Amino acid sequence: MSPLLEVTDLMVSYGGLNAVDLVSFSVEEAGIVGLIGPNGAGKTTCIDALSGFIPHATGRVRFAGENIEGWPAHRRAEHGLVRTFQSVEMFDDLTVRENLIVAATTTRWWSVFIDACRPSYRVRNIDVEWALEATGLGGEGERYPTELGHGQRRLAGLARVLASRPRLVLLDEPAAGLDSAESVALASRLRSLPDLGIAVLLVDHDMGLVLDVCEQIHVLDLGRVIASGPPREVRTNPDVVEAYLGSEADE
Amino acid sequence: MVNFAHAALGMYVAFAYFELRQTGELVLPIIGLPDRVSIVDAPTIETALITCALLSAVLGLVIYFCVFKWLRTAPALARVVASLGLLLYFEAIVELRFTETSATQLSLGSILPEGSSEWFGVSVPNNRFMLAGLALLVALVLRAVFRHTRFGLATRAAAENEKGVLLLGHSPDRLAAINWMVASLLAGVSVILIASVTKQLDPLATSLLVVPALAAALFGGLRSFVVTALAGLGIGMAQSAILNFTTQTDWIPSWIPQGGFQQALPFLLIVIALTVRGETLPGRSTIPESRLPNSPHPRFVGMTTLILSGATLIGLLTLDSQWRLAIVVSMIAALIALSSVVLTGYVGQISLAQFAFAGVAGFATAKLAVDAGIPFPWAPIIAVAMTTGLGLLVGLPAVRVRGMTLAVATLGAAVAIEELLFKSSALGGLEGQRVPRPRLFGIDLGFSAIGSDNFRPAFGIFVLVVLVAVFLAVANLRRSPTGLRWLAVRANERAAAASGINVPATKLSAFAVSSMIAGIGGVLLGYQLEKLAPASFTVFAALALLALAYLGGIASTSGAVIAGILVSGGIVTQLSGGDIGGSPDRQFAISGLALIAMAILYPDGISGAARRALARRRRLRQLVSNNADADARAADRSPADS
Ligand SMILES: Nc1ncnc2c1ncn2[C@@H]1O[C@H](COP(=O)(O)OP(=O)(O)O)[C@@H](O)[C@H]1O
Ligand SMILES: [Mg+2]
Repeated sequence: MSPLLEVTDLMVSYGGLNAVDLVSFSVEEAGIVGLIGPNGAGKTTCIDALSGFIPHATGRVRFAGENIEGWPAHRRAEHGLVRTFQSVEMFDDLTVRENLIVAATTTRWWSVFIDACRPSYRVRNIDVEWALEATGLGGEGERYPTELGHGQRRLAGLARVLASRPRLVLLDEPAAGLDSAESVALASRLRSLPDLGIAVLLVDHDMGLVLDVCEQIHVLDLGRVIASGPPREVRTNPDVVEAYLGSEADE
Repeated sequence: MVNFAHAALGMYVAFAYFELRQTGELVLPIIGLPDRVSIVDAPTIETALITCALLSAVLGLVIYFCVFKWLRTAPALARVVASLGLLLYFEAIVELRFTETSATQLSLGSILPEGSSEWFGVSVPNNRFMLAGLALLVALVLRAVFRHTRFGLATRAAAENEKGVLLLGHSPDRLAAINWMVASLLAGVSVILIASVTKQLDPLATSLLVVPALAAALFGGLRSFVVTALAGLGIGMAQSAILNFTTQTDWIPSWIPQGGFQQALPFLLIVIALTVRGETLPGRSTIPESRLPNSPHPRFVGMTTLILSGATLIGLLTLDSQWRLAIVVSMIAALIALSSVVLTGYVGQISLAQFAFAGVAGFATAKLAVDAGIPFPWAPIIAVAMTTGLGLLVGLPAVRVRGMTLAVATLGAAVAIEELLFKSSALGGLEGQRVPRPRLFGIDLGFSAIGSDNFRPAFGIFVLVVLVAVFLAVANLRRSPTGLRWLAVRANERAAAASGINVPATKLSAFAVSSMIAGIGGVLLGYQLEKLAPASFTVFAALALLALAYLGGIASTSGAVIAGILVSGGIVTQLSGGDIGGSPDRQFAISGLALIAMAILYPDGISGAARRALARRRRLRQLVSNNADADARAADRSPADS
């Protein structure tokens, strides 16, 4: 069977700089794959390109048996390829539950007319309630994102993508800014996603979480994949150590 | 920072200049200060110019420190509204301080030399060349200053990143203040020069010069002085060329008003250029706008509607005819304000074309009924459908441009609609277009009647039914998934797209819905006025209406109702017996200032401020009762303790 997501020669350049340089990898159905690399390696750009935010990206992207290059972001999301943002990006005017409803509902062009005539919309949606429970935010549905702590905000971002019942989630540094207890809790939540039929592409610049959770890891540096393999191999790969030590030495 | 009142400031300064040249008195623009101060008996051109240049610079400074300093990080909407307030203020001040007679009798003496030369068979006055040359020269000087001096570099850096500039030891405030002074000085002097060359100085038309000027500036990316100057000159030359062409050819249909193309075409081209250059989704580094007006979940909708419409019904049936008129005026204004609530309040798309949509629907209804003989419910329905289509068309730029640029694009559309359609001879031209009375199942729903029966309640009830239906529909939308998606697009377009929302389609659907609502309002306005003229739907009234909707509370349905109550000629006017705060111009000036204060202090409008006050009182009462409970418990316990 062909993989759920198959990326071939993905390339994004800004001026002369190749932010993503001929990257190829794949994610299996219900697989959990890590993408790591030092700051500025091109991880976020990679997610942007895969989720349809960079129109000038080139290369082949197959998702669930379809060629999705050139699809706009919302169409990819509707087909089950969703992403989170490094800076969370909640809809701050909406409650947490309403944030999730936005992601969970799909509308057609005539929905406007139906919604205009329906006096009161009962806000009950099983996917929304499930996503709130799955992220441990069951009690926070009526609060506004700005009232949440940093860790809970990140979880709310995760809940929002889960509410759309995706097939693959692209997570951009979901553990950034979490304390170690929150990080451990997040790791166990992420590990349970494949059991629910959701594949994960986990992006982080910190190796800890990724090595802990993922089956397969790709290491990015200056836009190129410099190593791939299971966590054990990647950890000891001299190129990876070099890339990370190099960036550490710069800082 | 984009300022819609920039040309209005120049307009005021130009008035002051010509008045100064004539009487030797300088007119001050601030309510509360003496009207005018005597400078010299017979000022020369030089003294007058220098005085007025100083005046503009000082005005720029005052405007910056009193208004825009507080809005540096505010969303585009708040800045648009504040500058609209300023525009209203300058208009009113000119009407107040330069009385009708002296305004028309201003001798617009020329400053630049006269004479003309022949170019490609067209005679062009020399002073036009000098003006163009001067504009380019100023652009080049500004470019040099901003490229090569510390001040210029610091300013450009401040536009990118204020904190960084602070770290470098510059005060962003001081930089901004100097830039405001320079910009205002240029605006003042250029309007003086333009007026002296064209021999025309009309408060409204001159203030609207800001539209092509902003278009040119946006074309220059708000960055390049030279591109902006060239684009501005290009617009001007294209307008003259088109004027020349339209007077010579005869294949342009005669119903298109003289000068319509000239006003509309160059501008439309620039909007198209901007739109093509825009991006469907904002880039990664774009920071979502802060502090947008709060859009509360509507509560007690059924109850409020019942009470309000009951009261209105009783009012319509029992009060006298002047009251009936005021209630109808308020209801129609509320309806049109609702269209802004949907588009600007819920979806965050600033549109200054709502009133133009209303006009299109009004005129179309009249045309369909009179010329095509289509009977009542069908003529307005077709007209509103047409308006919805037009709304989609005008909304197209919103797919790729946002904020200030969109405001300018829609304002341009409004100007184009006014120039090309409303002024058309096919719509009755200045004479006006008769609107036949609505009649349903043999019942006359028309407004006017003879004698004391005038302003028939039947029409008022008809308007009330329509308003209640639209009001409920908008409240329903806000509570539905559609409304949540609209608010999501307003809050963060990138995150909305990532959540599966088709952002362009969502914006367009909001444009369609809101132009439909505005169209319904326009149809009713047509039936109320019974005769429509270009003056029924001016761009200026459109600006005032958006301002009013903002004042009421742009992101809530109750805000639209408040806007309707406040509208000039509406319920508040009637309550106050027609004179609050003195003459209408004084009233305008004060409402301009109120608008600025509102934009700075209460971005949620009157309805938001009221809601917050209520919430605070509820909290306070809760606190008091909690304390009382605690005291009571303490009192219960203390005898046992002792
Ligand atoms: N819009 C853009 N314009 C120019 N360069 C960009 C843009 N977006 C990202 N880059 C560059 O691409 C490179 C990769 O950035 P990014 O994907 O954010 O890295 P990471 O997420 O791995 O830290 C960086 O050098 C960054 O400067
Ligand atoms: Mg990143």
